[in-house]
Amino acid sequence: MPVPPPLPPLERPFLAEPKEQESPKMMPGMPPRPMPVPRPMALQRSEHAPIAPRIEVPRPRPLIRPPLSPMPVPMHVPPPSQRQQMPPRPMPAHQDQRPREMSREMPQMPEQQRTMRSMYIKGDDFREITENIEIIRRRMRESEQALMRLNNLKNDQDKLFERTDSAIEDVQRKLMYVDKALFER
Amino acid sequence: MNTAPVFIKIDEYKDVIDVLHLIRTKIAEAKKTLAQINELKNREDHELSAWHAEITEIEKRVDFVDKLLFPPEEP
Repeated sequence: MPVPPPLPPLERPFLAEPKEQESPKMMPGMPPRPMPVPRPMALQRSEHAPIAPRIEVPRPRPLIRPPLSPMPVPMHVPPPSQRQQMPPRPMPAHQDQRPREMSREMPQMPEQQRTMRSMYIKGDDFREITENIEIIRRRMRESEQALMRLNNLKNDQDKLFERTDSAIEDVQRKLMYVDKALFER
Repeated sequence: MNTAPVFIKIDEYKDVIDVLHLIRTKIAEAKKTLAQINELKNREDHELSAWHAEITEIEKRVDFVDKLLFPPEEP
């Protein structure tokens, strides 16, 4: 395999040595220009260093907020004039027995749920609700008693079924005896 | 006399609504269980009727065999 001839030497170096900075020409009557402050090496722009292209960063759009929706108004919210006439709410007895986790979860709830935690109802409606709850409680007790009676009936029925089952087995044994007595050779 | 309506504040309104929804779900389950018990009761009544018919049939045949084995005494 023939060897290729060597390449001719370069006439000038690939990276030319920078020429010494020529001193600026001094014009008569003008003050001398201040000497440029040498920049640090990291900030000096090399002749062959690539120049980073300027990237146009888009400016952020101004925030356009949607119009605020009105707050949900609970039912039967009294006007402010009537709110002042309301007596101070008595502290319910069960409030102290409430677990602490409930009150700790309060601040984490969103605004919508926090506004819906309390509600005002009319006094007449409240009275009807309490009466109905009392009736429901009484009916629940009656329903529980009816279920107990049904359970007792079921137990009695089971006992009767067991008794009938034993009676049927007894009858079957007696039938076999009669069968043997009649058809025995 | 014009009396201003009295309003009562209910705390934990959302919890009350959730509990009412839960009670309604339980009532629906109880009604479903009651319907199933009623269906079982109907089947039980049907089985009891069939059993009653079987017992009546057995009683008739026992009477027939009894008559054949022990004929009535002639006076």
